[in-house]
Amino acid sequence: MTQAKGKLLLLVVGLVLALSARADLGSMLGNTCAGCHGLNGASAGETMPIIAGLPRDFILMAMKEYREGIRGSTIMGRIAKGYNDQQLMAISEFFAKQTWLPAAQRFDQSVLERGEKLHRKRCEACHRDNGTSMALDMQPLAGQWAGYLRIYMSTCRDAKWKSRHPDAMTSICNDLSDGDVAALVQFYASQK
Amino acid sequence: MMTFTNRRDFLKALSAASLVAWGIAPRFANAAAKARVVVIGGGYGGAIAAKYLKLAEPGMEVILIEKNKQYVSCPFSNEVIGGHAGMDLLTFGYDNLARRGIKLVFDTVEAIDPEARIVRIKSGTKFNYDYCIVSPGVDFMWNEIEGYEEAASQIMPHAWKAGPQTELLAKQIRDIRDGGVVVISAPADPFRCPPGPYERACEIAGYFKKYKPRSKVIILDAKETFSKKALFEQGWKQHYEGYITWVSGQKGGEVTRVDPKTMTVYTDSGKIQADVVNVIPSQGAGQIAVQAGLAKKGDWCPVNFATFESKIHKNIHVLGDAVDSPMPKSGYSANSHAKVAVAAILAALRNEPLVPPALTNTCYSLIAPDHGISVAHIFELVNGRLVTVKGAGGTSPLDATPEFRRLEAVYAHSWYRNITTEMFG
Repeated sequence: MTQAKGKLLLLVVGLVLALSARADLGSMLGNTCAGCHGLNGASAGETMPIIAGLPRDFILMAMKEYREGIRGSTIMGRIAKGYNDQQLMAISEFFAKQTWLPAAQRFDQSVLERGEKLHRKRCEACHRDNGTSMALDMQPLAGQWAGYLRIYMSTCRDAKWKSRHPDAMTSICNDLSDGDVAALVQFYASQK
Repeated sequence: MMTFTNRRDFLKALSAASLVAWGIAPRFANAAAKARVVVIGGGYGGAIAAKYLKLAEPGMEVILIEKNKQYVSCPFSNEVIGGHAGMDLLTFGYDNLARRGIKLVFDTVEAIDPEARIVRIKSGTKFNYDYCIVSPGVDFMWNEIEGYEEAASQIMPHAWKAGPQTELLAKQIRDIRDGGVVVISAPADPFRCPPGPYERACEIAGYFKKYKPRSKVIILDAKETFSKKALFEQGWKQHYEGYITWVSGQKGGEVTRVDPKTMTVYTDSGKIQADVVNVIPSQGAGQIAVQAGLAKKGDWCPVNFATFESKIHKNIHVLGDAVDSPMPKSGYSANSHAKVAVAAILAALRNEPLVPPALTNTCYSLIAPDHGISVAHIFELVNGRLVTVKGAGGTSPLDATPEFRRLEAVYAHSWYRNITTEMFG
């Protein structure tokens, strides 16, 4: 083996081992989240979001925002402070690698039309394809737990919620009525 | 820094590492697929360990030995005592674990031979193992409070292992006269579910407020403080003024003797005549752990926190409440221990390096149906000791809004749904 080839091989090995270490660190760290977010992030609880298969950068950004207190939460802020950037990256990669499974949930047919109209007007520009898209690192809304989406949108509208959500969501949700939120949530619950 | 003695090892590592990096199994050592792991105890630690082993290595023989055909969860059992739920909320079967290929054996373990690596059950069957996982929960220290022997728990239930005891205490609360007195005797640390007695007081007081408004709860405590104390006290003031009295150890709270015949509870500063007495005895590692020499009676099992392998016997990993650990004895801790132990066993079988352990705890308590509180811990291993990561974790804020409290109650229910589905789904 020539010296150059040897060096290249070492570099490749180093890179592969580093990736491997990160993959194992990711499952070690990610598995600790399952107690609340479900096996591999496929939540079974209707108010905890499914995080399996979300875009990596969405998870990473959300965790960093929790850590810095920019994103409002009850418990996630306290948890995110326990991890450095490298750990958050490993956690995000771990969940991004998992398969998104839409929640098995019922929905209210009677408000779907209202929900769809609101979606087209307010949300489709970012949450494309009826909320199924993960383009622009958006989390899919279609098939996400209705309970979680209702809480998220309600806290976006709540001026007393200590640290507000990202500005875009706050301004979009501010004037939604409870009925609007319910209709939107039912629309996303109906989409897979 | 990894070094390779020859080209073959080097290439082997390269190809294995590539496969690992791309998430493709199997890895270069197939010892894991041929191994047999015996898990003793199918609760928050053992069920998760068995499931994660089988998920990681479908070929591995995983045997789960559990006393009861159905599991009854301690977490959320206070909801039954408060009348907010029935036993069905707490009860789970092992069918899904069996469907995954885990061998279920419903029997009591009589002995573990750590030298020969054999587990013997009551029916006489013996199981050889490569690794044994012991997740036995707690054992009660009967008679540490004079008069509180096992038989007394039929009159003064502990309800600290969920099942018939939970039903008995729930029934006693339902049947109490209006104006009745309930005494909860809380033990010194460490014990299973540190916020449990105080959440239980809330559940009972909530029931009284609605149905028996002249009744009261007195918590007699061996301790000076307890988990989430400030949050509980704030909640008591807000919801249960006049219903709950807490007496610390120094103020005469330590229960020294009980008389089930006369329903009298004695402390150094006097005695109380009660209608219902809930004695939560002090605890130690579950009986089989003591029998196997993994801990002394009334004590907890020392483990290496990088692997949860017993410090006393090799190839035996101990999980959950039975472990001598700075982590609270909670369902979430047990769940977290299990995943570290599984990773360590897999790493050993696959001849791979250990990944630093990640251990967390999350615990919700319900003060009222729309008032939840929580605590979170993130631990790291520093020089062999588990310490909480600075600046992380902690309890819910004291000045939280009603909306925040409501959300924590909502999340408590989803937490329970998720952790139990992770175990039994």
